[in-house]
Amino acid sequence: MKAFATSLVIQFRGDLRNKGILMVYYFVPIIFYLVMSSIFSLPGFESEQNLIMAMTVFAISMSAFLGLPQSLVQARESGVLNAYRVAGIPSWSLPLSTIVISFVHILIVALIILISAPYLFQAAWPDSIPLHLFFVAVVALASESLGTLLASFVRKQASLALVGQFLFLPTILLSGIMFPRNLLPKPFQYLGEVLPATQAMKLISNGNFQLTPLLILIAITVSAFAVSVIRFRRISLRA
Amino acid sequence: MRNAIEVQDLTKAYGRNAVLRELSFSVREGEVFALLGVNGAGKTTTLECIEGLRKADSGHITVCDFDVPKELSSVQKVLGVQLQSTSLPETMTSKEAMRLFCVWHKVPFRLDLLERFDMAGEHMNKQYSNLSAGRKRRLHLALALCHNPRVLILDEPTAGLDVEGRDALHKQIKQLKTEGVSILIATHDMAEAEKLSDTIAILRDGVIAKQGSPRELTASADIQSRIIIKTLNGSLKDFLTEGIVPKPDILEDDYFSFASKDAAELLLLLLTHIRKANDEVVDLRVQRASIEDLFLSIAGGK
Repeated sequence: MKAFATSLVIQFRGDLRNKGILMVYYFVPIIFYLVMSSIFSLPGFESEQNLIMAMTVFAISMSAFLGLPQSLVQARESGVLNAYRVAGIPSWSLPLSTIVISFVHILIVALIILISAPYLFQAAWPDSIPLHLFFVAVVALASESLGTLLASFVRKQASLALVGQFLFLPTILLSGIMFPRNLLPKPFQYLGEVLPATQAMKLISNGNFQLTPLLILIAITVSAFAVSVIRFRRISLRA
Repeated sequence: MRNAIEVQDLTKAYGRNAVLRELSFSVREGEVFALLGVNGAGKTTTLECIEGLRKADSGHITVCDFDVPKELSSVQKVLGVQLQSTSLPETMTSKEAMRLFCVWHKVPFRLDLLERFDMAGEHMNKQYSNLSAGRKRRLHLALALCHNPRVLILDEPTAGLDVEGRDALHKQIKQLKTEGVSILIATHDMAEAEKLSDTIAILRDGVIAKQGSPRELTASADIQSRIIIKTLNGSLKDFLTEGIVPKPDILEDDYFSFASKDAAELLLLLLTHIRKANDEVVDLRVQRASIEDLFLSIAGGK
Protein backbone atom coordinates (compact mmCIF):
# COMPACT_ATOMS: atom_id res chain seq x y z
CA MET A 1 0.00 0.00 0.00
CA LYS A 2 2.86 2.33 0.91
CA ALA A 3 4.54 1.48 -2.37
CA PHE A 4 1.42 2.25 -4.38
CA ALA A 5 0.88 5.49 -2.46
CA THR A 6 4.46 6.50 -3.32
CA SER A 7 3.74 5.66 -6.98
CA LEU A 8 0.71 7.95 -6.87
CA VAL A 9 2.64 10.86 -5.37
CA ILE A 10 5.45 10.46 -7.93
CA GLN A 11 2.93 10.15 -10.75
CA PHE A 12 1.13 13.32 -9.65
CA ARG A 13 4.34 15.33 -9.33
CA GLY A 14 5.55 14.08 -12.69
CA ASP A 15 2.27 15.01 -14.35
CA LEU A 16 2.54 18.56 -13.02
CA ARG A 17 5.93 18.83 -14.75
CA ASN A 18 4.55 17.43 -18.01
CA LYS A 19 3.47 20.20 -20.40
CA GLY A 20 1.44 17.77 -22.54
CA ILE A 21 -0.52 16.55 -19.53
CA LEU A 22 -1.09 20.08 -18.25
CA MET A 23 -2.33 21.10 -21.68
CA VAL A 24 -4.87 18.27 -22.02
CA TYR A 25 -6.03 18.09 -18.41
CA TYR A 26 -5.99 21.74 -17.42
CA PHE A 27 -5.12 24.40 -19.99
CA VAL A 28 -7.43 23.48 -22.90
CA PRO A 29 -10.47 22.48 -20.79
CA ILE A 30 -10.22 25.62 -18.67
CA ILE A 31 -9.76 27.91 -21.69
CA PHE A 32 -12.68 26.14 -23.39
CA TYR A 33 -14.75 26.56 -20.24
CA LEU A 34 -13.96 30.27 -20.00
CA VAL A 35 -14.64 30.98 -23.67
CA MET A 36 -17.77 28.85 -24.03
CA SER A 37 -19.20 29.97 -20.70
CA SER A 38 -18.74 33.62 -21.76
CA ILE A 39 -20.84 32.82 -24.81
CA PHE A 40 -23.40 30.65 -23.04
CA SER A 41 -23.92 33.28 -20.35
CA LEU A 42 -25.03 35.83 -22.93
CA PRO A 43 -28.76 36.65 -22.91
CA GLY A 44 -30.89 34.19 -24.87
CA PHE A 45 -28.86 31.05 -24.25
CA GLU A 46 -30.58 30.15 -20.97
CA SER A 47 -27.91 27.62 -20.19
CA GLU A 48 -27.14 28.66 -16.62
CA GLN A 49 -28.90 25.54 -15.25
CA ASN A 50 -26.55 23.00 -16.83
CA LEU A 51 -23.49 25.13 -17.56
CA ILE A 52 -21.39 23.62 -14.77
CA MET A 53 -22.19 20.03 -15.73
CA ALA A 54 -21.69 20.68 -19.47
CA MET A 55 -18.30 22.30 -19.00
CA THR A 56 -17.25 19.62 -16.50
CA VAL A 57 -18.28 16.87 -18.90
CA PHE A 58 -16.21 18.51 -21.63
CA ALA A 59 -13.15 18.58 -19.35
CA ILE A 60 -13.73 14.97 -18.33
CA SER A 61 -14.10 13.82 -21.94
CA MET A 62 -10.97 15.59 -23.09
CA SER A 63 -8.91 14.19 -20.23
CA ALA A 64 -10.31 10.68 -20.47
CA PHE A 65 -10.26 10.26 -24.26
CA LEU A 66 -7.23 12.29 -25.26
CA GLY A 67 -5.04 12.47 -22.13
CA LEU A 68 -5.36 9.16 -20.32
CA PRO A 69 -4.98 6.78 -23.29
CA GLN A 70 -1.87 8.66 -24.46
CA SER A 71 -0.23 8.22 -21.06
CA LEU A 72 -1.12 4.52 -20.94
CA VAL A 73 0.06 3.71 -24.46
CA GLN A 74 3.20 5.82 -24.07
CA ALA A 75 4.13 3.86 -20.94
CA ARG A 76 3.78 0.61 -22.85
CA GLU A 77 5.35 1.77 -26.12
CA SER A 78 8.37 3.47 -24.57
CA GLY A 79 9.31 0.47 -22.46
CA VAL A 80 8.38 1.94 -19.06
CA LEU A 81 5.99 -0.91 -18.35
CA ASN A 82 8.67 -3.51 -19.08
CA ALA A 83 11.21 -1.62 -16.98
CA TYR A 84 8.77 -1.78 -14.05
CA ARG A 85 7.86 -5.42 -14.62
CA VAL A 86 11.41 -6.76 -14.68
CA ALA A 87 12.07 -4.80 -11.50
CA GLY A 88 9.27 -6.66 -9.80
CA ILE A 89 6.93 -3.69 -9.76
CA PRO A 90 3.47 -5.16 -10.43
CA SER A 91 2.31 -4.55 -13.97
CA TRP A 92 -1.03 -3.20 -12.72
CA SER A 93 0.59 -0.43 -10.69
CA LEU A 94 1.50 1.86 -13.58
CA PRO A 95 -1.87 1.81 -15.40
CA LEU A 96 -3.72 2.03 -12.11
CA SER A 97 -1.69 4.97 -10.81
CA THR A 98 -2.14 6.70 -14.17
CA ILE A 99 -5.91 6.19 -13.99
CA VAL A 100 -6.15 7.30 -10.35
CA ILE A 101 -4.08 10.44 -10.91
CA SER A 102 -6.01 11.21 -14.08
CA PHE A 103 -9.13 11.03 -11.90
CA VAL A 104 -7.54 13.46 -9.44
CA HIS A 105 -6.73 15.93 -12.26
CA ILE A 106 -10.33 15.67 -13.45
CA LEU A 107 -11.68 16.35 -9.96
CA ILE A 108 -9.43 19.40 -9.58
CA VAL A 109 -10.70 20.89 -12.84
CA ALA A 110 -14.28 19.98 -11.91
CA LEU A 111 -13.83 21.85 -8.63
CA ILE A 112 -12.35 24.88 -10.42
CA ILE A 113 -15.41 24.97 -12.69
CA LEU A 114 -17.84 24.35 -9.83
CA ILE A 115 -16.41 27.12 -7.68
CA SER A 116 -15.81 29.74 -10.36
CA ALA A 117 -18.79 29.36 -12.73
CA PRO A 118 -21.45 30.82 -10.41
CA TYR A 119 -19.30 33.91 -9.81
CA LEU A 120 -17.91 34.40 -13.30
CA PHE A 121 -20.89 33.39 -15.40
CA GLN A 122 -23.87 33.42 -13.04
CA ALA A 123 -24.23 29.67 -13.46
CA ALA A 124 -26.72 28.03 -11.12
CA TRP A 125 -25.20 26.15 -8.17
CA PRO A 126 -26.10 22.45 -8.13
CA ASP A 127 -28.98 21.66 -5.74
CA SER A 128 -26.68 19.33 -3.88
CA ILE A 129 -22.93 19.79 -4.15
CA PRO A 130 -22.07 16.31 -2.76
CA LEU A 131 -24.48 14.75 -5.28
CA HIS A 132 -22.93 16.84 -8.07
CA LEU A 133 -19.44 15.67 -7.08
CA PHE A 134 -20.71 12.08 -6.94
CA PHE A 135 -22.06 12.44 -10.47
CA VAL A 136 -18.78 13.96 -11.62
CA ALA A 137 -16.93 11.00 -10.13
CA VAL A 138 -19.25 8.50 -11.82
CA VAL A 139 -18.98 10.22 -15.21
CA ALA A 140 -15.20 10.54 -14.84
CA LEU A 141 -14.86 6.82 -14.06
CA ALA A 142 -17.11 5.85 -16.96
CA SER A 143 -15.15 8.05 -19.36
CA GLU A 144 -11.81 6.84 -17.99
CA SER A 145 -12.94 3.25 -18.45
CA LEU A 146 -13.54 3.94 -22.15
CA GLY A 147 -10.20 5.75 -22.41
CA THR A 148 -8.50 2.77 -20.81
CA LEU A 149 -10.30 0.39 -23.14
CA LEU A 150 -9.06 2.46 -26.06
CA ALA A 151 -5.48 2.25 -24.77
CA SER A 152 -5.78 -1.52 -24.40
CA PHE A 153 -6.64 -1.94 -28.10
CA VAL A 154 -4.46 0.69 -29.78
CA ARG A 155 -0.77 -0.16 -29.78
CA LYS A 156 0.79 3.01 -31.18
CA GLN A 157 0.55 6.56 -29.89
CA ALA A 158 0.37 7.88 -33.44
CA SER A 159 -2.81 5.90 -34.13
CA LEU A 160 -4.19 6.76 -30.73
CA ALA A 161 -4.29 10.50 -31.44
CA LEU A 162 -6.64 9.77 -34.33
CA VAL A 163 -8.71 7.05 -32.65
CA GLY A 164 -9.16 9.20 -29.53
CA GLN A 165 -10.88 11.81 -31.67
CA PHE A 166 -13.47 9.19 -32.68
CA LEU A 167 -14.64 9.20 -29.08
CA PHE A 168 -13.98 12.82 -28.24
CA LEU A 169 -15.62 14.58 -31.20
CA PRO A 170 -18.93 12.65 -31.03
CA THR A 171 -18.95 13.40 -27.31
CA ILE A 172 -18.82 17.11 -28.02
CA LEU A 173 -21.32 17.01 -30.85
CA LEU A 174 -23.83 14.33 -29.81
CA SER A 175 -24.05 14.53 -26.03
CA GLY A 176 -25.86 17.83 -25.60
CA ILE A 177 -22.89 19.72 -24.19
CA MET A 178 -22.86 22.29 -26.97
CA PHE A 179 -26.50 22.33 -28.07
CA PRO A 180 -29.74 20.48 -27.24
CA ARG A 181 -29.77 16.89 -28.47
CA ASN A 182 -33.34 17.17 -29.72
CA LEU A 183 -32.00 19.36 -32.55
CA LEU A 184 -29.99 16.38 -33.84
CA PRO A 185 -31.34 13.89 -36.40
CA LYS A 186 -32.74 10.75 -34.74
CA PRO A 187 -29.87 8.39 -35.76
CA PHE A 188 -27.37 10.76 -34.16
CA GLN A 189 -29.48 10.95 -31.02
CA TYR A 190 -29.42 7.13 -30.77
CA LEU A 191 -25.68 7.06 -31.45
CA GLY A 192 -25.10 9.59 -28.70
CA GLU A 193 -26.83 7.34 -26.15
CA VAL A 194 -23.72 5.15 -25.77
CA LEU A 195 -21.55 8.09 -24.71
CA PRO A 196 -20.95 8.70 -21.00
CA ALA A 197 -21.28 12.44 -21.63
CA THR A 198 -24.85 11.99 -22.92
CA GLN A 199 -25.81 10.01 -19.84
CA ALA A 200 -24.09 12.62 -17.67
CA MET A 201 -26.24 15.37 -19.16
CA LYS A 202 -29.36 13.27 -18.42
CA LEU A 203 -28.49 12.60 -14.76
CA ILE A 204 -30.44 15.66 -13.67
CA SER A 205 -33.59 16.35 -15.61
CA ASN A 206 -35.98 19.15 -14.55
CA GLY A 207 -34.21 19.27 -11.20
CA ASN A 208 -34.76 15.56 -10.52
CA PHE A 209 -32.15 12.84 -10.25
CA GLN A 210 -32.53 10.12 -12.93
CA LEU A 211 -31.56 6.55 -12.03
CA THR A 212 -31.35 5.05 -15.53
CA PRO A 213 -28.42 7.18 -16.75
CA LEU A 214 -26.57 6.39 -13.53
CA LEU A 215 -27.03 2.65 -14.05
CA ILE A 216 -25.90 2.95 -17.67
CA LEU A 217 -22.76 4.82 -16.55
CA ILE A 218 -22.00 2.16 -13.95
CA ALA A 219 -22.52 -0.58 -16.55
CA ILE A 220 -20.15 1.19 -18.98
CA THR A 221 -17.54 1.55 -16.24
CA VAL A 222 -17.66 -2.06 -15.06
CA SER A 223 -17.71 -3.61 -18.52
CA ALA A 224 -15.04 -1.34 -20.07
CA PHE A 225 -12.66 -1.76 -17.13
CA ALA A 226 -13.24 -5.54 -17.12
CA VAL A 227 -12.38 -5.86 -20.82
CA SER A 228 -9.37 -3.55 -20.34
CA VAL A 229 -8.02 -5.72 -17.52
CA ILE A 230 -8.29 -8.81 -19.72
CA ARG A 231 -6.60 -6.99 -22.60
CA PHE A 232 -3.79 -5.62 -20.41
CA ARG A 233 -3.16 -9.04 -18.87
CA ARG A 234 -2.88 -10.52 -22.34
CA ILE A 235 -0.46 -7.78 -23.43
CA SER A 236 1.49 -8.12 -20.20
CA LEU A 237 2.78 -11.61 -21.04
CA ARG A 238 3.91 -11.39 -24.62
CA ALA A 239 3.71 -15.05 -25.50
CA MET B 1 30.21 -23.93 -7.71
CA ARG B 2 26.43 -23.48 -7.98
CA ASN B 3 24.70 -22.13 -11.00
CA ALA B 4 23.16 -18.67 -10.79
CA ILE B 5 21.22 -19.19 -14.02
CA GLU B 6 20.39 -22.47 -15.62
CA VAL B 7 18.72 -22.73 -19.01
CA GLN B 8 17.78 -26.17 -20.29
CA ASP B 9 16.35 -27.05 -23.69
CA LEU B 10 14.78 -23.62 -24.13
CA THR B 11 12.66 -23.45 -27.25
CA LYS B 12 10.82 -20.44 -28.57
CA ALA B 13 9.25 -19.70 -31.92
CA TYR B 14 7.42 -16.69 -33.31
CA GLY B 15 4.86 -18.25 -35.58
CA ARG B 16 6.84 -20.58 -37.83
CA ASN B 17 10.12 -18.83 -37.12
CA ALA B 18 12.02 -20.87 -34.53
CA VAL B 19 14.27 -18.45 -32.65
CA LEU B 20 15.58 -20.74 -29.90
CA ARG B 21 16.07 -24.47 -30.45
CA GLU B 22 16.59 -26.43 -27.24
CA LEU B 23 19.10 -23.88 -26.03
CA SER B 24 21.03 -24.90 -22.93
CA PHE B 25 23.66 -23.09 -20.89
CA SER B 26 24.40 -22.14 -17.33
CA VAL B 27 25.94 -19.15 -15.60
CA ARG B 28 27.98 -20.00 -12.53
CA GLU B 29 27.80 -17.93 -9.35
CA GLY B 30 30.11 -14.93 -9.51
CA GLU B 31 30.73 -15.38 -13.22
CA VAL B 32 30.40 -12.85 -16.04
CA PHE B 33 28.82 -14.72 -18.94
CA ALA B 34 28.54 -13.07 -22.36
CA LEU B 35 26.01 -14.09 -24.94
CA LEU B 36 27.12 -13.11 -28.44
CA GLY B 37 25.21 -13.35 -31.66
CA VAL B 38 24.22 -11.48 -34.77
CA ASN B 39 20.91 -9.60 -34.87
CA GLY B 40 18.08 -12.09 -34.69
CA ALA B 41 20.26 -14.82 -33.20
CA GLY B 42 17.93 -14.95 -30.20
CA LYS B 43 19.92 -13.12 -27.52
CA THR B 44 17.18 -10.76 -26.43
CA THR B 45 14.54 -13.51 -26.60
CA THR B 46 16.73 -15.67 -24.35
CA LEU B 47 17.11 -12.87 -21.84
CA GLU B 48 13.40 -12.02 -21.94
CA CYS B 49 12.51 -15.65 -21.23
CA ILE B 50 14.88 -15.63 -18.23
CA GLU B 51 13.43 -12.32 -17.00
CA GLY B 52 9.90 -13.70 -17.31
CA LEU B 53 8.92 -11.11 -19.91
CA ARG B 54 8.37 -13.75 -22.55
CA LYS B 55 6.86 -17.20 -22.25
CA ALA B 56 8.99 -20.03 -23.60
CA ASP B 57 7.38 -22.75 -25.73
CA SER B 58 9.27 -25.41 -23.82
CA GLY B 59 12.34 -25.86 -21.68
CA HIS B 60 13.31 -25.10 -18.14
CA ILE B 61 14.86 -21.97 -16.61
CA THR B 62 16.01 -21.38 -13.06
CA VAL B 63 17.55 -18.31 -11.46
CA CYS B 64 19.22 -19.06 -8.11
CA ASP B 65 17.20 -22.29 -8.10
CA PHE B 66 13.89 -20.44 -8.52
CA ASP B 67 11.81 -21.56 -11.44
CA VAL B 68 10.91 -19.09 -14.20
CA PRO B 69 8.06 -18.28 -14.59
CA LYS B 70 6.47 -20.31 -11.75
CA GLU B 71 8.39 -18.51 -8.99
CA LEU B 72 8.74 -15.18 -10.76
CA SER B 73 8.29 -13.04 -7.66
CA SER B 74 11.14 -14.92 -5.93
CA VAL B 75 13.22 -14.61 -9.10
CA GLN B 76 12.67 -10.85 -9.17
CA LYS B 77 14.02 -10.60 -5.61
CA VAL B 78 17.39 -12.02 -6.66
CA LEU B 79 17.53 -10.69 -10.20
CA GLY B 80 18.43 -7.22 -11.46
CA VAL B 81 17.76 -6.38 -15.08
CA GLN B 82 18.87 -3.64 -17.43
CA LEU B 83 16.86 -3.97 -20.61
CA GLN B 84 18.17 -3.01 -24.04
CA SER B 85 15.13 -0.94 -24.86
CA THR B 86 13.88 0.61 -21.68
CA SER B 87 12.60 3.86 -20.34
CA LEU B 88 11.08 5.70 -17.41
CA PRO B 89 8.35 8.33 -17.42
CA GLU B 90 9.91 11.39 -19.06
CA THR B 91 9.26 13.77 -16.18
CA MET B 92 10.40 11.39 -13.43
CA THR B 93 13.62 12.48 -11.74
CA SER B 94 16.47 10.09 -10.95
CA LYS B 95 15.74 10.53 -7.26
CA GLU B 96 12.05 9.72 -7.70
CA ALA B 97 12.90 6.67 -9.81
CA MET B 98 15.22 5.35 -7.11
CA ARG B 99 12.61 6.08 -4.43
CA LEU B 100 9.95 4.24 -6.44
CA PHE B 101 12.08 1.17 -7.15
CA CYS B 102 13.29 1.01 -3.52
CA VAL B 103 9.81 1.30 -2.04
CA TRP B 104 8.50 -1.53 -4.24
CA HIS B 105 11.46 -3.68 -3.23
CA LYS B 106 10.88 -2.72 0.42
CA VAL B 107 14.43 -1.43 0.87
CA PRO B 108 15.52 1.99 2.18
CA PHE B 109 16.27 4.74 -0.36
CA ARG B 110 19.66 3.96 -2.00
CA LEU B 111 21.44 7.30 -2.25
CA ASP B 112 24.69 5.32 -2.18
CA LEU B 113 23.86 3.77 -5.55
CA LEU B 114 23.10 7.14 -7.12
CA GLU B 115 26.44 8.36 -5.78
CA ARG B 116 28.26 5.27 -6.96
CA PHE B 117 26.96 5.71 -10.51
CA ASP B 118 27.65 9.44 -10.45
CA MET B 119 23.94 10.20 -10.48
CA ALA B 120 23.83 12.21 -7.26
CA GLY B 121 24.06 15.98 -6.98
CA GLU B 122 22.61 17.90 -9.92
CA HIS B 123 21.68 14.72 -11.81
CA MET B 124 19.48 13.48 -8.98
CA ASN B 125 16.78 16.05 -9.64
CA LYS B 126 17.05 16.01 -13.43
CA GLN B 127 14.07 14.67 -15.29
CA TYR B 128 14.62 11.43 -17.17
CA SER B 129 14.10 13.11 -20.56
CA ASN B 130 16.92 15.56 -19.78
CA LEU B 131 19.51 12.86 -19.01
CA SER B 132 22.09 11.88 -21.64
CA ALA B 133 22.09 8.31 -22.99
CA GLY B 134 25.03 7.48 -20.74
CA ARG B 135 23.34 8.85 -17.64
CA LYS B 136 20.15 6.95 -18.47
CA ARG B 137 22.18 3.71 -18.67
CA ARG B 138 23.82 4.46 -15.35
CA LEU B 139 20.49 5.20 -13.75
CA HIS B 140 18.94 1.97 -15.03
CA LEU B 141 21.94 0.03 -13.75
CA ALA B 142 21.63 1.74 -10.36
CA LEU B 143 17.91 0.91 -10.28
CA ALA B 144 18.60 -2.70 -11.24
CA LEU B 145 20.90 -2.96 -8.20
CA CYS B 146 18.67 -1.27 -5.65
CA HIS B 147 17.66 -4.56 -4.00
CA ASN B 148 21.21 -6.03 -4.04
CA PRO B 149 20.46 -8.75 -6.59
CA ARG B 150 22.66 -11.83 -6.75
CA VAL B 151 22.24 -12.02 -10.51
CA LEU B 152 22.33 -9.21 -13.04
CA ILE B 153 21.20 -9.31 -16.65
CA LEU B 154 22.49 -6.62 -18.99
CA ASP B 155 21.16 -6.44 -22.53
CA GLU B 156 23.54 -4.44 -24.75
CA PRO B 157 24.68 -2.38 -21.75
CA THR B 158 26.97 -0.06 -23.68
CA ALA B 159 24.99 0.36 -26.89
CA GLY B 160 24.97 4.00 -27.92
CA LEU B 161 27.52 5.07 -25.31
CA ASP B 162 30.64 7.09 -26.03
CA VAL B 163 34.10 5.77 -25.12
CA GLU B 164 34.08 7.44 -21.73
CA GLY B 165 30.63 6.12 -20.87
CA ARG B 166 31.55 2.63 -21.99
CA ASP B 167 34.73 2.65 -19.95
CA ALA B 168 32.88 3.84 -16.84
CA LEU B 169 30.31 1.10 -17.24
CA HIS B 170 32.99 -1.56 -17.76
CA LYS B 171 34.60 -0.51 -14.49
CA GLN B 172 31.25 -0.83 -12.73
CA ILE B 173 30.66 -4.30 -14.18
CA LYS B 174 34.13 -5.42 -13.04
CA GLN B 175 33.43 -4.01 -9.59
CA LEU B 176 30.13 -5.87 -9.40
CA LYS B 177 31.90 -9.09 -10.32
CA THR B 178 34.34 -8.61 -7.45
CA GLU B 179 31.30 -8.19 -5.19
CA GLY B 180 30.15 -11.64 -6.21
CA VAL B 181 27.30 -10.67 -8.52
CA SER B 182 26.72 -13.13 -11.36
CA ILE B 183 26.31 -11.24 -14.61
CA LEU B 184 24.77 -12.30 -17.90
CA ILE B 185 25.52 -9.87 -20.72
CA ALA B 186 24.13 -9.90 -24.24
CA THR B 187 26.27 -7.79 -26.50
CA HIS B 188 27.38 -7.11 -30.04
CA ASP B 189 30.65 -5.68 -28.79
CA MET B 190 33.26 -8.42 -29.13
CA ALA B 191 35.98 -6.45 -27.39
CA GLU B 192 33.62 -5.84 -24.49
CA ALA B 193 32.79 -9.53 -24.24
CA GLU B 194 36.44 -10.49 -24.37
CA LYS B 195 37.43 -7.86 -21.82
CA LEU B 196 34.73 -8.51 -19.24
CA SER B 197 33.66 -12.12 -19.49
CA ASP B 198 34.77 -15.32 -17.86
CA THR B 199 32.69 -17.30 -20.33
CA ILE B 200 31.48 -16.44 -23.80
CA ALA B 201 28.75 -18.28 -25.68
CA ILE B 202 28.19 -17.61 -29.35
CA LEU B 203 24.59 -18.04 -30.34
CA ARG B 204 23.76 -19.06 -33.86
CA ASP B 205 20.40 -20.20 -35.23
CA GLY B 206 18.99 -20.55 -31.74
CA VAL B 207 21.68 -22.83 -30.32
CA ILE B 208 25.09 -22.25 -28.80
CA ALA B 209 27.63 -22.76 -31.53
CA LYS B 210 30.68 -22.29 -29.32
CA GLN B 211 31.24 -21.74 -25.62
CA GLY B 212 34.28 -21.27 -23.39
CA SER B 213 36.56 -18.72 -21.82
CA PRO B 214 37.87 -16.06 -24.21
CA ARG B 215 41.30 -17.70 -24.10
CA GLU B 216 39.92 -21.19 -24.69
CA LEU B 217 37.82 -20.02 -27.58
CA THR B 218 40.60 -18.23 -29.40
CA ALA B 219 43.07 -21.05 -28.72
CA SER B 220 40.83 -23.89 -29.76
CA ALA B 221 39.22 -22.27 -32.73
CA ASP B 222 40.14 -22.83 -36.31
CA ILE B 223 41.20 -19.23 -36.72
CA GLN B 224 44.57 -17.73 -37.38
CA SER B 225 46.77 -15.16 -35.72
CA ARG B 226 48.42 -12.61 -37.94
CA ILE B 227 52.03 -11.42 -38.21
CA ILE B 228 52.62 -8.10 -39.91
CA ILE B 229 56.27 -7.42 -40.70
CA LYS B 230 58.51 -5.06 -42.68
CA THR B 231 62.26 -5.44 -43.18
CA LEU B 232 64.89 -2.93 -44.21
CA ASN B 233 66.06 -4.67 -47.39
CA GLY B 234 62.90 -6.56 -48.28
CA SER B 235 64.61 -9.94 -47.96
CA LEU B 236 61.32 -11.72 -47.25
CA LYS B 237 60.46 -11.61 -50.95
CA ASP B 238 63.17 -14.22 -51.65
CA PHE B 239 62.00 -16.36 -48.76
CA LEU B 240 58.48 -16.57 -50.13
CA THR B 241 59.60 -18.30 -53.29
CA GLU B 242 61.01 -21.18 -51.21
CA GLY B 243 57.46 -22.15 -50.17
CA ILE B 244 58.38 -22.70 -46.52
CA VAL B 245 55.98 -20.08 -45.13
CA PRO B 246 52.35 -19.49 -46.08
CA LYS B 247 51.71 -16.95 -48.80
CA PRO B 248 51.26 -13.53 -47.18
CA ASP B 249 49.10 -10.59 -48.10
CA ILE B 250 51.35 -7.85 -49.41
CA LEU B 251 50.32 -4.58 -47.89
CA GLU B 252 51.33 -0.99 -48.66
CA ASP B 253 54.89 0.20 -47.96
CA ASP B 254 56.41 -3.30 -48.36
CA TYR B 255 54.61 -4.74 -45.35
CA PHE B 256 53.82 -8.46 -45.38
CA SER B 257 50.87 -9.91 -43.50
CA PHE B 258 51.07 -13.63 -42.65
CA ALA B 259 48.19 -15.64 -41.23
CA SER B 260 48.96 -18.72 -39.18
CA LYS B 261 47.49 -20.91 -36.47
CA ASP B 262 51.00 -21.26 -35.04
CA ALA B 263 52.28 -17.71 -34.95
CA ALA B 264 55.29 -18.56 -32.76
CA GLU B 265 56.63 -21.16 -35.21
CA LEU B 266 56.11 -18.84 -38.18
CA LEU B 267 57.76 -15.93 -36.42
CA LEU B 268 60.78 -18.06 -35.63
CA LEU B 269 61.10 -19.03 -39.31
CA LEU B 270 60.80 -15.45 -40.47
CA LEU B 271 63.35 -14.08 -38.00
CA THR B 272 65.82 -16.85 -38.80
CA HIS B 273 65.58 -16.01 -42.48
CA ILE B 274 65.95 -12.30 -41.88
CA ARG B 275 69.06 -12.89 -39.78
CA LYS B 276 70.58 -15.20 -42.40
CA ALA B 277 69.91 -12.61 -45.10
CA ASN B 278 71.65 -9.93 -43.03
CA ASP B 279 68.40 -7.98 -43.13
CA GLU B 280 66.83 -6.00 -40.29
CA VAL B 281 63.29 -5.83 -38.91
CA VAL B 282 61.87 -2.31 -39.25
CA ASP B 283 58.39 -3.04 -37.89
CA LEU B 284 56.79 -6.13 -36.42
CA ARG B 285 53.29 -6.70 -35.07
CA VAL B 286 51.69 -9.93 -33.91
CA GLN B 287 47.90 -9.90 -33.74
CA ARG B 288 46.48 -12.85 -31.92
CA ALA B 289 43.19 -14.33 -33.06
CA SER B 290 40.38 -12.42 -31.40
CA ILE B 291 36.88 -13.27 -30.34
CA GLU B 292 35.76 -11.11 -33.23
CA ASP B 293 37.59 -13.37 -35.71
CA LEU B 294 36.00 -16.39 -34.08
CA PHE B 295 32.59 -14.73 -34.01
CA LEU B 296 32.81 -13.87 -37.68
CA SER B 297 33.83 -17.41 -38.55
CA ILE B 298 30.95 -18.91 -36.54
CA ALA B 299 28.13 -16.40 -36.62
CA GLY B 300 28.83 -15.55 -40.23
CA GLY B 301 28.61 -19.22 -41.06
CA LYS B 302 31.98 -19.19 -42.79
